[in-house]
Amino acid sequence: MKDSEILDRIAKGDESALDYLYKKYYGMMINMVRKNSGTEEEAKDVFQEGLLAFWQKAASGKLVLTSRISTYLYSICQNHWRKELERKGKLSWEEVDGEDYQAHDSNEKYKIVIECIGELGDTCKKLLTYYYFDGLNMQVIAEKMNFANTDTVKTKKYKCKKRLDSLIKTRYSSFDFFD
Amino acid sequence: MSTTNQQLIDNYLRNELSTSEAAQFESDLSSNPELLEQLQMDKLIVEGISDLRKAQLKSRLDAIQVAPLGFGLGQFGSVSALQGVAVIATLSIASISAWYFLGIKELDSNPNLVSNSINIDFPKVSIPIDIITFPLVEVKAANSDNDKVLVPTNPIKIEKVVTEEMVAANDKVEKSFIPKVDLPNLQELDDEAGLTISDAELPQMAPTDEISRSENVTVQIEASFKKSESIKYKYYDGKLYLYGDFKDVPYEILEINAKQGRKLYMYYGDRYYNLMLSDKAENLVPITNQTTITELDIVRNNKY
Repeated sequence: MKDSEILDRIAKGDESALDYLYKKYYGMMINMVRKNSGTEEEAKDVFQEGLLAFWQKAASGKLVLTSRISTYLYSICQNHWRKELERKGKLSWEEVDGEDYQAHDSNEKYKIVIECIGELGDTCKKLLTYYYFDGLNMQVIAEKMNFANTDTVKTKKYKCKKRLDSLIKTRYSSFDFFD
Repeated sequence: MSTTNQQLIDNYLRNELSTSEAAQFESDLSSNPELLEQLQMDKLIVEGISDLRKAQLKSRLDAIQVAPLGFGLGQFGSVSALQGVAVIATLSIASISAWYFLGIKELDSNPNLVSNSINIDFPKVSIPIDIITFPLVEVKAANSDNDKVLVPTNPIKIEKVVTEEMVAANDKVEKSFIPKVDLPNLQELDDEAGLTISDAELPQMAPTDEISRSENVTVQIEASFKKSESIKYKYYDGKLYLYGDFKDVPYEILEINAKQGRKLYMYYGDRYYNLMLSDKAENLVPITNQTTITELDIVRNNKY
């Protein structure tokens, strides 16, 4: 499959393109991390993170590729692994303290948000995911979800978001989100 | 929260604002607590949605079977070298497999026939496919007590794709059975005495005769209608894509499995075609080797 075809498929939200890339470059990426002091499990994690970052950029149509996909993916994973190594190195001698309360508070809010997303219907969950994570445009969302047109998507998205906001706000006073 | 502000926040979070618009938005945040409050909540929402989606996609990726790396890629120097080795190995296996199968001079005259039916999604209609499995067995050479021809025990699967009209006829057949066949004594063939079988009654349907989806079926077939004179195909990733107009002339896919690999052939319009692994749409090239054609004829005709 040519790079242009892969990008085209991703732009349409075709997840089989993700499978294809995973299978095709698995060996290459795992090898890179393993050669640089990583375990296979860490390598897998780095590759998956890198691939999903690539997916997000490509799906949103904001990716301008000046190299082959393999080169691009390789550099994403390499950077990701470099940062991970730095983080691990720092953790070995740095004490993490002083932010316990803030972290706990933030976790509480996050938990509520996750719970409320879970309470949305499937259509809302899908729509908001395509919009906020995959960054798909309204036209592609309409096609993927069999909506009549982009206006229908906009209206539906507005209602879903409003519903989610309302669910969150009833659980957590709005003041608490404003630190 | 006004619709305009929500749109502004969305554009900001989706990186759709220009540099100057983003700077203006950030400056507005300091004087608009409501906007800041909503932005903070939306950031958490996007984070939550992203984490859930990532978990979903990661579990999808985890389910993908990739080649084990236990052998150590480093031993091969580079991935491309490894790929080269893999390609050569695959080609060798395919060649041996094809030679092995096509070199068979004599097949078991009394194979066990197992008829299955599966559904494949086609663009317009779901079409059942008959699969007949021929277990290959050890056979003795005709002129010697000692010489044996060893034939791999892996099944040969033949998939017969039928047209919509044939589907209707096929629906009438509700059950399948394994016929009991008494072979006639060869010496009685001359006077046809051995052809009379007194107790050749149809067997009772047993629970084990239930038609089920074969676990060995790994090749998926996807046919797309294309109004063009030439038929094209792609075969990769365990999936066969066919492009063409199959309305008037049905095609058959012959899948031959051996321990070393799988070969696919297509029978279409009275000709056989070899289907090679390819992720690009290829034109069908007819098989011209008469020996291969004869052997494929035998395989194809034996399924009835």
